[in-house]
Amino acid sequence: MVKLENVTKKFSDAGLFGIDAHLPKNSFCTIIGRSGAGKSLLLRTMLGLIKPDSGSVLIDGTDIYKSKYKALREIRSKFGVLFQNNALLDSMNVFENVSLPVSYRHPEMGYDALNEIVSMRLKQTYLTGASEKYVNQLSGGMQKRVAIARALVTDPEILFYDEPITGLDPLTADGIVELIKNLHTEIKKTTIVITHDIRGFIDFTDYIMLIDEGKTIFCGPKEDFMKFDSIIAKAYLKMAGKS
Amino acid sequence: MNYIESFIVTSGEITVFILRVFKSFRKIFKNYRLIIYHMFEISQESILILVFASLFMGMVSAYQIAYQMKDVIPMLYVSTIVTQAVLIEIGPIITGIGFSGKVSSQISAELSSMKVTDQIDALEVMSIDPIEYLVMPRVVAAILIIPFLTLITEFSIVFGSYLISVAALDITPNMFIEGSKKNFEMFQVFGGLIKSVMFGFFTVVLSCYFGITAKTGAKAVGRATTLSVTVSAIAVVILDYIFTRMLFLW
Repeated sequence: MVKLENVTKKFSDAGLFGIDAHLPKNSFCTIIGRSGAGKSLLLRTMLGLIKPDSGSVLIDGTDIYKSKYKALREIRSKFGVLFQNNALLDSMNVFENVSLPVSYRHPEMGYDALNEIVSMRLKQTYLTGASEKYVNQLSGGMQKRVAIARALVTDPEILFYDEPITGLDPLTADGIVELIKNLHTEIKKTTIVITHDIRGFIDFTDYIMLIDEGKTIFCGPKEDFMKFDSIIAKAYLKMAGKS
Repeated sequence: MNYIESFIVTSGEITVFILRVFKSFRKIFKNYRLIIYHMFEISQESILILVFASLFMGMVSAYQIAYQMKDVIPMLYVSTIVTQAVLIEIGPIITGIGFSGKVSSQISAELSSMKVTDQIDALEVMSIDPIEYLVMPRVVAAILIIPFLTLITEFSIVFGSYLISVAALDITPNMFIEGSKKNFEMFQVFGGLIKSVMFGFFTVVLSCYFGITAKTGAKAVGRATTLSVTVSAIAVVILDYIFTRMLFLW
């Protein structure tokens, strides 16, 4: 469960202003908002990368900003994250990228066991046969899938996807959307998708959080969002063909 | 924030960063493969440039000493002066400056690029400490490899000076070797190597610090690289003064 209580982080030109949210365990949540609304800042705050000026970020009841570094690392071990620009290590091949979180935490693990785990995740993300390729040899869609495989490899409790389809052609984007949905159906873990394009996710999502100018406009079940009386919410529903 | 405040804050941050690097030394054995990898990378990046620069430095040194001292001392002492200066001063400082130009820029550019493309944040989120994974192996690699690079640099300078002495200054090979042995003490070699270890440590720590704390955008990569080269070069000169006083002149 992810809970945000009055999270505030001010920068000179933007920020988060009293964000409240409750994203239930094992649900599929979509955080939407315009470009510059504060979505990526919110994600970084949830991941423990940017400390808010005030408020709390609770992961399964533990405030990550009141935790010591070691405890924070324990909490983060529950996370799997797809960054907006994938954040793959370009000096490594696909296998090394995907295996890194496991091989670093468990250096005692043998190659065969590691290979088994990585191969399973590569198969899940349709990357079988690409393990020897380097990041710069892959297309944008493949890089996205490698980053998803890396996010999955530690069997995380919470999966974060930051703008998973931004910059991809429509066909590839559809493929990534389907992959994210299939993975959620398969592993049934908390999934948080941050996007400005809700079209692919609206039918599948359980919870929606709408933010604008750093403030929570809405946070609740999809059914309530469909009835929510707000110009911005209606614009998103219209974009998704639901108005 | 004015310059003084900024200097104090950055100095404090660098101190904390160094303490974190020391703390991460506990994980040396876990990261031994990375350390070996970086030792090879650092050597590959710097060895040719050091040898090349050192050869010419040796040639110039021999010429200068012969030119300045031709009516003052016998030519036998050209190699004495070159060898003494190389072991105590020129060898370590050329290696340090070469390190700050080549290795420091490479490390800083690499880490700042990783920072602006979220790779370092990705490591944090994967519960991999960037200090432990990215910084410590580079620092340890530098500490281990720089004495060898310094010895190669010192040999190259002396060899360059030998070539010029024999070819152009009417000094025989025997005279050069005999001159080199005069006033030679093993402590001079070790003192120079201690200085070079300090240069390697601070150069790599500073370049890692500027790389890892880079802001966002392509400009940040350029700024981090420039800062790391400039500050490392200044640090080498300051450290050289401090350690020369401590080791040789006290």
